Amino acid sequence: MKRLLYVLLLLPGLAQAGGTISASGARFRYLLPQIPAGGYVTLKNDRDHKIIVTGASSPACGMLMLHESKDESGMAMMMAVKSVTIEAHQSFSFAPDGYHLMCDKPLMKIGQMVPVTLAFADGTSMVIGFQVGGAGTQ
Amino acid sequence: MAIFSPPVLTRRALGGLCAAGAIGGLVRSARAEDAPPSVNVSGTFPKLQFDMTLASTGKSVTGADFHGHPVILYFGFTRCPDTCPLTMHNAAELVKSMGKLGTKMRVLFVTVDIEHDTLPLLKAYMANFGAPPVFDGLRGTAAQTAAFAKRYGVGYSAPTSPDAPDPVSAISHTDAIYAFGPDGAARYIIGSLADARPDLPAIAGIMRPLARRAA
Repeated sequence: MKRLLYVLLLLPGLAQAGGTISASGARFRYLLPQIPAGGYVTLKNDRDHKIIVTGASSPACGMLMLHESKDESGMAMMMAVKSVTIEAHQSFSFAPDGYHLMCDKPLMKIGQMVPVTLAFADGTSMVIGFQVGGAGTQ
Repeated sequence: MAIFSPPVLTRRALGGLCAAGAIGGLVRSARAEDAPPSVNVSGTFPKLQFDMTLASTGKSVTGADFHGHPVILYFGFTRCPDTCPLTMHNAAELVKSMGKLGTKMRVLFVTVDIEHDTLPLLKAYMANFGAPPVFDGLRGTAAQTAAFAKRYGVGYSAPTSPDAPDPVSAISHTDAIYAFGPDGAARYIIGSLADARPDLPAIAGIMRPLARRAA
């Protein structure tokens, strides 16, 4: 499993299942070990059907959750989301001030590449290498 | 795993502002995509006044200690992973873009999560964005923090335990970014400083005149 993981890390952007989901710009904004790191990535779904991201995990995070910062009823808030749907041949960005991955209890260092596994509703998953940056990560 | 429920409020104190003053409409319009990066609140918000502890020194400070400097004031908490660091980073870029005038600025991060955000943690957190005295954190007792937040219409709730398992569901706060002149008068609400792509030149444009009058 570990070897497979590293092979996938060497080929960032290749999906484990299907080979038609690609990832770009994967990065964490890391500040301190006791402060959650924000994760961002753009996913491109080149499949002929929609994909649904249902969860994320990483050995570099105590817990990794899908979150969204959004305005609601005139107030801005951040909340956990259960899934993110990407329609066929569409892209979706986890980006600052919107959808993001919240990495609680991060175990990472600036400059590292850490693996994140995204789980999809069809039971498949994808490992993406996330570049760890500091406060200026946008 | 627990199902996490809202909310962590991390931008623009709309609810708080509406409660605090009659400028809700102004601020609401400021949220539109093509809105100006700031709203002038001169005369409608109270002067900078508080009793808190400064993260970098551990000493008690009041609003008067910052007179002579333009102040950017932000209520947040360190466990906020997305918009709080984004806002602080934007503030850091703003200060940098102002060059020498930027050194006159004071960016103060007020924690509403006083159980978790100890002074050393707050100090270490702010070091990610800039050094004191320009960047610093403020932490108060529960009563001090409540009084400070109330003064500027900021609502919040925070967990009572530093080990609260889920900061996301446990902490909520309305959030706004206030700018004060060197005389302590409230001048602007700079909502766009919480955006992924803030108009920093425009914000610097309104802050420079304040910085020129700094001590």
